[in-house]
Amino acid sequence: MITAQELSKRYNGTTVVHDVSFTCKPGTITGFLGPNGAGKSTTLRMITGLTRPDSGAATIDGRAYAELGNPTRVVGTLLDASAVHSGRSGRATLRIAADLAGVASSEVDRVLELVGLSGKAADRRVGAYSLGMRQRLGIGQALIAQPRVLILDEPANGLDPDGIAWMRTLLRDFAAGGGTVLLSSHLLGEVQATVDRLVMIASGRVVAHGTLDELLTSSGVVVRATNMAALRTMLDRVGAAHHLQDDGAVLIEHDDVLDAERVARLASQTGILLVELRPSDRAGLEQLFFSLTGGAEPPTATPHSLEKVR
Amino acid sequence: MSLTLAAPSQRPTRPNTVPFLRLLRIEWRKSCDTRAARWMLAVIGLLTACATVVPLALPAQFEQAWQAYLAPAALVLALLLPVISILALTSEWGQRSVLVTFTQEPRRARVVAAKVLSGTALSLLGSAYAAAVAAGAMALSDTLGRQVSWDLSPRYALGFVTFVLLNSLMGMAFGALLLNTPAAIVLFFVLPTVWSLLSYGWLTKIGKWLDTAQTFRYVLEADWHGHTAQILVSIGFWIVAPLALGILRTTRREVS
Repeated sequence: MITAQELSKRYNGTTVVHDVSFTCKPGTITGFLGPNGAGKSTTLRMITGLTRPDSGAATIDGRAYAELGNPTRVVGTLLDASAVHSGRSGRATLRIAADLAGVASSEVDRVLELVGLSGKAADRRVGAYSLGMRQRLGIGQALIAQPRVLILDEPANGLDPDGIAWMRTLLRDFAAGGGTVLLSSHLLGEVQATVDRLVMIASGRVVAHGTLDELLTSSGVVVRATNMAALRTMLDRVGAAHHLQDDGAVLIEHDDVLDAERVARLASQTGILLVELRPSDRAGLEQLFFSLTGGAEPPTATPHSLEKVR
Repeated sequence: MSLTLAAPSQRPTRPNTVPFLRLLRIEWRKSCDTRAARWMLAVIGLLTACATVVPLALPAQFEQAWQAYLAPAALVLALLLPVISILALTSEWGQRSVLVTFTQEPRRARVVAAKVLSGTALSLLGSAYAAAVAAGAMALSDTLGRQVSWDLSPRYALGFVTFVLLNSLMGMAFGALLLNTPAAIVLFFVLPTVWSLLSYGWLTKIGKWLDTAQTFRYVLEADWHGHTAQILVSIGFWIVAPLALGILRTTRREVS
């Protein structure tokens, strides 16, 4: 259980995090989503006691981080995969974490196996690791003392698609066992596939939060017709907010009234032939992301272009 | 009365707090298990051994006694052990692994204390090693038929160990205050030179109190009678004060 209550942080007069509140319950994976510079890392550092909030408070299982006796047994953290001493091997890094937490050193081998760093890789210097390997090591470090809570800052960064799929399974299993996961990301696709709740942050403020389903259902319907001009005229006529996407389809925004069925009915009455009609899932989330986080970018649908946003 | 008052004022216990001895053991391991530290230790070991060869090779210039054998080794240790001590306190900030360290133990002052104690242990171990190597060299000198005096005054032994320790502690204090490896190392090495360059007028007077090349030499030579105040001022200014400020800075510094 993670609770953030009205966390605020200012640096040199600039508010970086403003009144951020949310709760992560056991058994759930919460995605902390926002463009880079939105205040995600600062918030996570406040939760983990590395940065003192100007106001507000955060607790993990009901206690402030600094009050956790042996924190790594309660909460596993991965705040920056590259923040590891490069002159130490992966195994030595994990051994230190295991020893400090007071868990048996046999756990080191188990975790190395679990994160896919067993064998030769374990004894190489971390300085020679790729970013993906560092992420795996960092996740291993977070898991070493079998905590109930995980806090991961951009854990998918640098992982290849296999690695992302692996992490997804790992986190799902962790949550299924009653664990609480909070992970941040600026990559929508990654978040959408892994999490069941979202907290969206932009310019230091929470702009949306809720379950993935809640956020998605309110995000619209994607429609494509043989005659797009007629379709748009029809939508204008009923006063539905909509716009043309890059891929040529029309996205009807945030409309609970004009759901897919109603669009189909209208089109049928108007004699428009629909060739695509679906709730906007991914594209819709992106649209939501951009509209809520105040990004001026049009909802271009490729993950590649999203990465550039940071 | 104090006994009866003690019970209610006890702070609520945190059952699973990381024991300090464990922190100490881990900081000790961290200070020695990186490649940089291993190289440094190997170099120190080698140079300390070389230092004891000097009085062995030049029996005409050096009295064949502990003091002559330990002094060069002490200088090597005083020069190089602080580098490891500095690294122990600064490298985690440079490598940013403080992000991990301070999430593992959020009571940062305990981490600094463990690092300083670990550095102290290393310094004592270094002194013991130097003494062993010196004893070996002296035994060799003995077998070469020279007149070797095996008499070691406890006063001198204490001076030797303290000298090595004070230099290590000064390195740690600089590291704790600056939290930056190059800055701490440069300051540590440049400081004595600065004093020798600036020994004019009133600076010479201050130097008598603050130039550690002078004041710590009194310690090494077990010559503290009449110099105790100067030695203590040097310790206060270059060790106690920066270490205290450093702990304060470490506990308050933003970790990112």
